[in-house]
Amino acid sequence: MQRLSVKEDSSGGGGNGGTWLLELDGLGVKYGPIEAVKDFSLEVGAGEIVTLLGSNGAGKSSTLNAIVGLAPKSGGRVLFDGQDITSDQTDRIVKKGITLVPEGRRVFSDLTVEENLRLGGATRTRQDFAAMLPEIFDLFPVLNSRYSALAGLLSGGEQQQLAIGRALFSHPKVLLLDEPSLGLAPIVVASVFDIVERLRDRGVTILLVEQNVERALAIADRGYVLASGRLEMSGGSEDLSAAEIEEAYLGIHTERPS
Amino acid sequence: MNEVVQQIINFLSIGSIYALIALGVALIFSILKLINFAHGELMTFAGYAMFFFHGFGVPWLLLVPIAILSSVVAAVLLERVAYRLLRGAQPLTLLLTSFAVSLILQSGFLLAFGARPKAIEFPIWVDAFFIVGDIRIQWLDIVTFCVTMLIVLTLTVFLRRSITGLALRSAASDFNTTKLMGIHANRVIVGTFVVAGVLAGLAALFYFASTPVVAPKSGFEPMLKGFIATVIGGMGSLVGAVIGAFLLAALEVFVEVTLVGSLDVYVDAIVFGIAVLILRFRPAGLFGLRRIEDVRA
Repeated sequence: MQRLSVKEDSSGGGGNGGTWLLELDGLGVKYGPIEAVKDFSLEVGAGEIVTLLGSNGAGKSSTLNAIVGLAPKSGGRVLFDGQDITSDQTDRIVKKGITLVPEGRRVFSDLTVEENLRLGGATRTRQDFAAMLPEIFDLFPVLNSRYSALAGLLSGGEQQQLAIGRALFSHPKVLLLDEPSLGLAPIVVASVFDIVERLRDRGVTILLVEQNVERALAIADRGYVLASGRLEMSGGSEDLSAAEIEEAYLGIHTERPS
Repeated sequence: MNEVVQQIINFLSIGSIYALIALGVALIFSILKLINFAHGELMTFAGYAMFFFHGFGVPWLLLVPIAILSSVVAAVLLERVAYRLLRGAQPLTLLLTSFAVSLILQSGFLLAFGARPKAIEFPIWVDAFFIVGDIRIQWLDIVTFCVTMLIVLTLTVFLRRSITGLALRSAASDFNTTKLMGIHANRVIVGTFVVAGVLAGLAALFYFASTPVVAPKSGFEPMLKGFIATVIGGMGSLVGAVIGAFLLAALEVFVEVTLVGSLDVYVDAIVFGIAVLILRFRPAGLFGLRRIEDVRA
């Protein structure tokens, strides 16, 4: 089976000749009468880290949930590797190679770490799970030491590692991360971003939703900014200014030495 | 002394039947937040299946799997026809629907088989017993208890070790995240109903073996007992369901033994009264940890 460490053969970075790994084309998300996302297009190339920024309620989580079929789409298309997956059910999308680490980690708290991980590998064989386990332990040593503990007893940072580790067992080509640093202590936040970079180095393509604009832009290749469900700006992360985005769209005013 | 041992055996047998029912009710509730009052009708279904196929001279060795299978089929159909359309509906809507389904099934039985109870002719070996000292012990009671314990054990291993079992447990706490594991949501729900059907079928076998007549409303009383057992144990907790079932059986046997003569029509009233008292002080049941939802809201 494809291993994590196998790097996708691609030029990486944006604009690789129209063959995006994940592509949103005019996506709309509607909950009843409420339009959470309007006509949003986004592209993620193989091997990239792309970040999706915006204030609370801007439609970031709705976008990620819509990609994996957990939020109702009201228009547009989702393409994965050129294939239309707009109307696929969640389990099929996961089997094709996209998975989401949801906001708030959502580990199964009354199941053990082992049981959580085994569910992550639900679509795979037992042998595949066993073969993959050392690799996950290597990435997240804490999961090894707390293998039989109830997931609900782990700290926030440990739960985040469990949620990411669990998602990796489905061998995703694209990993959607929804606010992985939310609610974590500053020192743990740094390690989460470190993990995201290491995943990319192992060939996993990442679409990252974050409220920590500066850190997200620091590791991302490109970024998109959503406001009220609409695309406000996008570009290479070196062209996007964290301070500007925070001030214009997140309502954060920070004094920064220039 | 003999009386005590006899009653203990009695208690274990009744408790086992309640436990099988309560487990089915608790399993469906924990995953779908649905109190399936039609669970009793699954048992009635198995009862009529035994009656019907016995009429064709089908041997008992085959009637046992037929009874279980008919409950399973009924459970899966129930999900497909009634509950699937209401996925994610309010718990109260689900509850009312299950009452409706229960009534419709009872009416269906009435139309198909008539109001008069049908006797199910169990083979003689169901009454077989052995004698220890002065105590007459019925094999059926022993089998009922042992099979129930085996089922509890199997179910525990299934829920702990198999991926499907793990998926049932994770779906009980977080359905959407379970889907993100690449697990087909329908498969989890249908799986739940299959397991509940097996439990109802087994419960029906043991229940009708001791009460060998089936009528359209046969399933109501055992279902009520099983439901009360799950409530006492704490809705949604499988361990609680089993303990609640044996507690209810113990109460029932104890009240029955201590009440003199003409008072024994009040057994249910007293037992249910005690259940109400337990809930007065532990509203979430003995093992229920989740907070109680106010259905008036």
